[in-house]
Amino acid sequence: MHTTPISRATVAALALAAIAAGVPGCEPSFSDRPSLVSGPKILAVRSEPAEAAPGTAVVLSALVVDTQGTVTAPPSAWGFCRAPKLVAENAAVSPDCTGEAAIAPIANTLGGVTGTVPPDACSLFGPETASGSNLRPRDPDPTGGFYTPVRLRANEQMAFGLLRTRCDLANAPGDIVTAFAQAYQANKNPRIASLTRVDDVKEAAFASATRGESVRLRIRWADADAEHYPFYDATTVTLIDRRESIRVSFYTTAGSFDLDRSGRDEADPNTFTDDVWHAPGDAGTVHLWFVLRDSRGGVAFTTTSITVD
Amino acid sequence: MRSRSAKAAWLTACVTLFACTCSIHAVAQEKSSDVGGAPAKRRLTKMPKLERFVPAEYPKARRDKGETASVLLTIELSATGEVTKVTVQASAGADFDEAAIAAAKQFHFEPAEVDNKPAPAKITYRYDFTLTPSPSPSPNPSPSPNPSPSPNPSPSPSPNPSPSPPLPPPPDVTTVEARSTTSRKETGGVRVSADEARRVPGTQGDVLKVVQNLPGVSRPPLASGQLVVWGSAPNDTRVLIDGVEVPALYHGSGLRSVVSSDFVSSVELSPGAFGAEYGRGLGGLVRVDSRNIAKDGPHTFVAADTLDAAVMHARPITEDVRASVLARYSYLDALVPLVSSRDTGATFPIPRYGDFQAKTTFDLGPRESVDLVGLGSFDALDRTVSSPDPGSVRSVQSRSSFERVYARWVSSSQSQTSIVTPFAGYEDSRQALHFGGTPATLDVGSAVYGLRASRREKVGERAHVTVGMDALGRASNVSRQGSLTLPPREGDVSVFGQPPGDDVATDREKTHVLNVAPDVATDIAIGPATFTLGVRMENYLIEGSRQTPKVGLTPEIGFSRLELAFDPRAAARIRVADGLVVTAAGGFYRQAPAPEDLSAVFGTPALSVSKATHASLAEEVRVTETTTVEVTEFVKSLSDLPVRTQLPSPILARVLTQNGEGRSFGAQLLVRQELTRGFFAWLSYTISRSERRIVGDDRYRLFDYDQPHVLAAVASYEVGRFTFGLRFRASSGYPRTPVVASTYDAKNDRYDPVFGAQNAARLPAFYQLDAKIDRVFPLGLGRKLTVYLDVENVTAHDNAEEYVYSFDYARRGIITGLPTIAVVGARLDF
Repeated sequence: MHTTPISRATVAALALAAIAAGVPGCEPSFSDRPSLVSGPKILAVRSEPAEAAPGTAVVLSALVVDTQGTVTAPPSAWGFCRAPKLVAENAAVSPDCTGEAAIAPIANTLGGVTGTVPPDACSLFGPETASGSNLRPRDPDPTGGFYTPVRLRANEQMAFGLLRTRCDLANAPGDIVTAFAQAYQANKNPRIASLTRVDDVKEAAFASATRGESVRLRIRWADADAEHYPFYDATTVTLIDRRESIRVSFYTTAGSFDLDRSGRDEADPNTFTDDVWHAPGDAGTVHLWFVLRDSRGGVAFTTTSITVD
Repeated sequence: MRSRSAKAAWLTACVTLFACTCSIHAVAQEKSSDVGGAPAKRRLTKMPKLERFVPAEYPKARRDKGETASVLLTIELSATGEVTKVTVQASAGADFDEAAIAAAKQFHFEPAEVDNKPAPAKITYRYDFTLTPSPSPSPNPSPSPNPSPSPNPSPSPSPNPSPSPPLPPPPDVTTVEARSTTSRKETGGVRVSADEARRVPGTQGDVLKVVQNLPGVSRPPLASGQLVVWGSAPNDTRVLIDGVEVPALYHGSGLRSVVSSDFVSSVELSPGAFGAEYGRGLGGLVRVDSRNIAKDGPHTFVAADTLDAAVMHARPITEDVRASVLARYSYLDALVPLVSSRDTGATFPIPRYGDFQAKTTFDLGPRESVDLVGLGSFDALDRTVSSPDPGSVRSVQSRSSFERVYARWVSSSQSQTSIVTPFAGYEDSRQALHFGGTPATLDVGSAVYGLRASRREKVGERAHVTVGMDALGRASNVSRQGSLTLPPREGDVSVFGQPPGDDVATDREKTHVLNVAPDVATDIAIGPATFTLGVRMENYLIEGSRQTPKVGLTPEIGFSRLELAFDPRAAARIRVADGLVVTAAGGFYRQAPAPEDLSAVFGTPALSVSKATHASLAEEVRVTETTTVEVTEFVKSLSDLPVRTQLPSPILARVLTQNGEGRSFGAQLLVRQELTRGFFAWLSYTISRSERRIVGDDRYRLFDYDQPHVLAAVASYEVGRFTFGLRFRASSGYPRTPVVASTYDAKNDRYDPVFGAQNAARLPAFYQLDAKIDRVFPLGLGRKLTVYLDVENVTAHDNAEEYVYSFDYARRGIITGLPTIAVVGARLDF
């Protein structure tokens, strides 16, 4: 932990602000970086298709890494969590999902991991309520979606993927429900179109770097990957057209990124994002990973290993 | 750890509050100024009246010799009519003097009134020692309610002392001090005059910030103006200005109070067990009395400092009408960018606030007046943490304001005091937060109206009856969208900076909560004891536009219900011995649900009122004429508190339940040296424990704001034109729930904490020393300049304000509070 040095003028300014706002005088800065892979990690969990209705099959995969690169076929245990979280829970899943009692295992076969979305997913994690039960429908996420938790244990790590589950629109007039059903297209996983290094304005393949070099990296995706989708606005009782935002997470086993994550919000029409990677001072092989996520739960990832001369 | 260079830089950080002033010429107003800090001469509208007479012990030797005598005493009275000091003006000999003083100290008076408001007073009293031949003397003579003077009592011999009735204090010997107060002190309450409060270090002269240093009050979290009193939630304590409820005592940042210090006469904190006149809160009561407007000339005050600018003007308009207006506006948000990088304002939220007060007093007669008052306050705060990652963008936009207008009619006579205060106003609160793509907005606009009325009348020789009406209506429009977990509630388990859940909902509703509460109370004096019995008849009308969530375009189905209850309140005050008073008080209290809690989506329309029971026992010892020691033990129990449902699938429109209950208990000590010869000091210490649980839980957990130990020591001494002050504060840290592990959320690329037992950890203890020095420069023509230096955290102690975690919760750090901050300011009065 360290405190970033600041100028006297800034100190005076911050003191002014601190007095007025009562904000804390000193916030610790942790040296830990999400983008640095210093041991086993699960970086992404992916479902194909990205959105599925209850009772349909999905193929699950994950990006599991360590300092030696991507871990292929790691010993892993998959399962659907069947414990819904409390309505006022901050976390993505119920704390019960960390135990075994709430887990419905998914068979891990040689051909991959194929699971079937629980038939009752829309009542466990979605807006459906039993007829006459008078229970409160679950709230959707900001994109209007509902998600079934998928737990992965691998390399002594635990991660939760959230499988977007196709459920009916709740609490909307019938005509809106019909229009929504007709307009809505299930989410598709995005793709990483390219990974390049940018020198001035010229893009080139990213294959090598020198020690201590700072390399501007660019991740591109297709315009269609930031999909448009209908969104039910309960305030105005209308359907509105929205577009996915895109986030990219950067990881490296050595050196550092300026940004741990970058991306474009839904109003930004650009289809790329940049980050600067600072190569380590020592020569050797460095593994880098790039995970692209859309705001409806779609995932894509790519990896590259380069030699630092 | 903070680096040495950075720490040195912090240590040298000095914020200068400078005051620039302009003048509107007014001559020789210093002495009579009502706003400049100098005592003001005011009109005595009601003489103090002897209610309880205690006969003196006739010196045996004198009686044996048949000697009579008269001792002329000066008796100082508090605003409640208690004798605070007795001195001899004209001696009749040490034995007669001692006997007269001992007796007079046990007197009790109906208080004097200044400008029709109860006030401390000083009277001249002649105690006659006479001997009468009566074979059946009255051993305990009843004082005349309106005693006639006996300038030449007949020296009729008597075996027992039979003092003459007191001399009514002639106007020319009655001195009424400027620290006048308007409302009767609540049992167990601590009242601080504005003159004392403005000297407290660390408050930058803000009179109402002194409340945070009174016993029973927890140290508020940094960046908040919350009041946690006797283990009650911040929103459970009511703030009244001249009896009119306002939503907060401080601006949102806690930096300033919502009314100017120059508007305040005194502030009183009643942490609990208050009387039947007040309600609607499970916690404590803060009562602010406004200042009277001086009658003897205009006064103008204009000032500016680093934080804000203020202007005030007060003047008599006619013989019977006088008015004042005060306004304050902050500009720190505009000032900081001039001396810092552009993004400082984006990184550190810089609040903007303002307030105004206007008051006009109409004297309708010698004992009757009407005050017309308008006051308002606003707060604004904008903060955006930008990021190239759309999931990491955070923004906060906060707006809040309130306005009140009220008329306060006061009429008093020898036997009664009547006060009627109708009021109306508006409150608006708009919070818009965005965590990545997750919104959390809450807008509440409320029209407020009400009436407070009371009539206190003497009934017989030893009793008073107070009949009152306390009504408050609140019609609210509530609009809310976003995560259910924002704003957070007491009992939520989270860590600082944790993003909210990304399940979002939306709702709009209208609510109307009307509380009409007639009350009646009786004070009965029996010997050395005074018993107060009261009852408050609570009538709650709770209405809302939706009892179920909105589904499409279905029409609204509202709800309306009436809840009636009787809440008894009682107090007993017993003078156990000379200088020792024991007070016991208790009662039942209720509080209506907040408008946003009645939402069919985010709350529960069926919520009822929450309940509390308070009990306290206080022992007050007057050590010297100006020094008191008071120990108070208290216990509170709370029930029917709204809490979040513990079900993953709750019933429709039942997100909140009333299954919360709590308790708090403890004791507090207050050693107080009243302002005498320029010196005052107090030491307050509170030890307490406050707990909550869900009905059915086996064990209680610690209340989120539990603070077992709170200590505050304040001292101020005036030497010539200098005044020195010190304040030391120490307190336990707030409870926090430890993080024992974390899980990775691969959809949002973030870690979520896994928590241990709720509130099982605690922030490190806090302590801080503040110092203040000021000097007055007389400038002639009635003007004076006061310059002060207020240094907070003199020892630069790194106080822990919050725990913060690394991104994966593997490591924990501490956010520390402010370093040494020196504030220099100036004030010109003329």
